[in-house]
Amino acid sequence: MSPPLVVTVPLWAGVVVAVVTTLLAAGAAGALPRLHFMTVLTSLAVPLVTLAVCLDQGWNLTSAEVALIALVVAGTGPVTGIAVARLLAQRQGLIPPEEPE
Amino acid sequence: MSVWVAAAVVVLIGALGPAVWIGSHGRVEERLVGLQLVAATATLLLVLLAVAFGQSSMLIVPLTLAVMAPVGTLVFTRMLAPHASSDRPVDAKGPS
Repeated sequence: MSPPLVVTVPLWAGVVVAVVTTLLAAGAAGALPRLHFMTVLTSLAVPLVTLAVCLDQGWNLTSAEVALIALVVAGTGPVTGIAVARLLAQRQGLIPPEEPE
Repeated sequence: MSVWVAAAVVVLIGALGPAVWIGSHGRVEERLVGLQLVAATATLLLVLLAVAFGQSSMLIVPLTLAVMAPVGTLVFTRMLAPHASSDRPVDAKGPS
C-alpha cells in the first residue's frame, strides 16, 4: 500500500532537490559554486525527506531520531561550508594563510 | 518496490553517484567539497533505506555519519590550510 499524498509529495520533493542540486554541483565550475549547492542539499532536501518520514511514521522514536539526524545535518552543513570556503580563500590567496600555533 | 526503496534507488544513482564523481577528481579542495556532498547524500540514502526496510535500529548508522562527517571535513580543512612560515613575512598571495 503506497503512502498517502501528504507523505509522497515531500519525499519526492526532497529526492528531486537532492538529485538536481548534486547534478548542478557536478556541472559547476570550481569549488566555491559547489558549496552553494551543498548548502541547498543539507538545508532543504534532507529536511523535506525528514518531514515525509515523520508524517509516515507518526510521532515516535523513529521519527524523532530521523528529525535529530536532519537537525545535525542542517546545523553542521553551513559550518563545514564556511570552513571549506575559508580554506578555498586561503589557498587562492584571497585571505592570508594561518599563522602557525 | 515500495516508494521508499524507489526513492533510495533514485538518491543512490542520481545524487550519490555524481557526488562520488565530484569527490574523485580535481584539485584537493574540490574533492573536499565532493566529500561533503557524499556524506550528505549517503546520510539521506541510509535514512531512506532504514525506513524502507522498517528497521529503525539501522538509523544509528546515518546518525553516526551525520555527526562524524563534519568532524572529518574540519580535520581535512585544518590539514590542507596553508600556514604562514615563521621565517618569512606572511604572503597574502599564498604559498609558492
